Amino acid sequence: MTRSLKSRLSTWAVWLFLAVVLGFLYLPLFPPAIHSLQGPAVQEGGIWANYRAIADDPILVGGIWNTLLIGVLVALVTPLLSLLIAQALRAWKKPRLILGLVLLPLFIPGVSMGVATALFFRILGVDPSLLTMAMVQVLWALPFSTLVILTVMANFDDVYLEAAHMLGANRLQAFFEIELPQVYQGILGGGIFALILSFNETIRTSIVQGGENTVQTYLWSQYQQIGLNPTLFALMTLLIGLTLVLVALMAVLEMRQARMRRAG
Amino acid sequence: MNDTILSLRGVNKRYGKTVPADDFSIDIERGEFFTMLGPSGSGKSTILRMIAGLEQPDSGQILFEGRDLTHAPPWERQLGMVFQQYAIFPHMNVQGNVAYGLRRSGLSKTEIDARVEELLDLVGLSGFAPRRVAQLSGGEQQRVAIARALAPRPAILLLDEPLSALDEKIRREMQAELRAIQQRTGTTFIYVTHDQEEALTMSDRIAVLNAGRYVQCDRPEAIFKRPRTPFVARFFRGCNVLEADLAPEGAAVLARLAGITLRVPGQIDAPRKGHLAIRGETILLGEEAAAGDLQLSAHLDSVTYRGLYSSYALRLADGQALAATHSQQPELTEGVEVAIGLRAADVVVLDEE
Repeated sequence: MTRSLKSRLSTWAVWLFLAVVLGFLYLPLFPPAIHSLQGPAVQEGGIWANYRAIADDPILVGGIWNTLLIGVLVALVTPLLSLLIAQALRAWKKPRLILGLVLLPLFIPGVSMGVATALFFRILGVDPSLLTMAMVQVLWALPFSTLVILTVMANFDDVYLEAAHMLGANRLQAFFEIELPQVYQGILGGGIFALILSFNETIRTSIVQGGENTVQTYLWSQYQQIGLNPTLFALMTLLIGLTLVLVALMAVLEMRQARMRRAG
Repeated sequence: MNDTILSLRGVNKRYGKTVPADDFSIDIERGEFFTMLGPSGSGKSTILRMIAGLEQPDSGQILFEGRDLTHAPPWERQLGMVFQQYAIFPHMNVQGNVAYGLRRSGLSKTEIDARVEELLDLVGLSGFAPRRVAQLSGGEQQRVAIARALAPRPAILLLDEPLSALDEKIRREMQAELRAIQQRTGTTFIYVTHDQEEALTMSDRIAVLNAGRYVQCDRPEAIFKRPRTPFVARFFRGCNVLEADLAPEGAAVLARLAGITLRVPGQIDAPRKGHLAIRGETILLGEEAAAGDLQLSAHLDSVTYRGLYSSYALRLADGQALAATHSQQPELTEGVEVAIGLRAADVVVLDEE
């Protein structure tokens, strides 16, 4: 009796602790959403007024376009580079050192990385532009995306490539006909990961931004210089929502990949 | 027959301390079922992979019909290969898998479909073409792998322990079928296994490998009955390897074993310590012992009933263990001395390694 009471109590304690941790993680996401539905504009123009106001701010609209443009570029380039790295790591069979070199940028502080890259661009005579912003973000996303793709490729057995070679397929044919169809979901996952990182990156990007803004650099400069207004809260809420949707998409891809492996 | 299809000439391969191929040379005849048999680490799989082109030898040559293939990539060798892990492409159905090697053959779609059906028929999977890989058992997947490897009509099919992932019953069925497929298609098979019974059942010739060299290469019956060295003899279950003092005597050998001198066929140059091989089923026990032309006696430690036969654990006067098998189960009591008879022709004087 006491034993079962004790075990029930400890179960409750574990759930309570979990609830506190989850609350700490997710509750801070709600105030921006609440703020985005308040303010003078809402009283006049209805509950979605702050969201509609986003479209009326030309700088913000420009920032959204820049964010999307850079995001797409980063999401396309990063997984391709990661795939090349992962293929080289497998071919050389000496992955530790090189993998370490690829992952090292993860541990360099963002400001240092940004400033260093900005100086490097200046030495090369490259002016700040959307392209330099995209390049900085590719550097930032590359280690993450490489890890995602390496994980997927670790589950791919080289014997399939050997079987394809024995059936007359050269390296390129075996890659496109046999490996890619089995790992493309991982590459897609790497791309979505890069997209999320691109949407969220602020510090490195702001150092090489020049005259252009992304949503994040704009939010950051507004927050520092003027303070936030309800329109910006609406924008933040949209960003948080979009990120969660992308994460969910990645999880779905991961699950489908796992199911395909079991079936195979 | 002296129609060599594939030759390995002085092939060497080394990974740190392990040496999968040590000056390895061999000729394989067109149309034969050739088996490389050895324990794990004997180099058999690596040698097969070098023939396939999936590994590169450090030195030496691989000649296919006299052409030097040593450095050709696997996709230019036109050999077929079946892997232990089946390696059926999971993103294609059975049709897609079997047709894969025909993609670059220039055949029309109708010709490819016909060839796929012909091969599925050959491996006993008629009508399986539209099936998904996930719906297949292990045995069925390996049949698809065999059909897939044979589809482009390779001159040689390489098989790397293809049955070792399957369970006992299916493995036995597949042994017979593989042999039948080999004979029906006339394809040269080079087969790698660690399973002595599998090697004996299917092969025209067996090479027994140890540490990157072959110790003996011969027909199954010759290897089974007349192993050349203690390593080969111990590899085949049921073979006793006994230490003895050997001395030449004309065209025979005098072997001193447990205090008794036996005159057995063989040829040695000088007296030496050595080994004799005696298969368990050739040992005559109890009343039958008198039928042998060599007589010994031994202590019977235990008798184990094994269904088709019984096995008798014996101990000679010098302490060496001897295992005999007998299908008639003669009435013998455990723990007593029994008479043992041997036929001189069944005793093999082994070479030392």
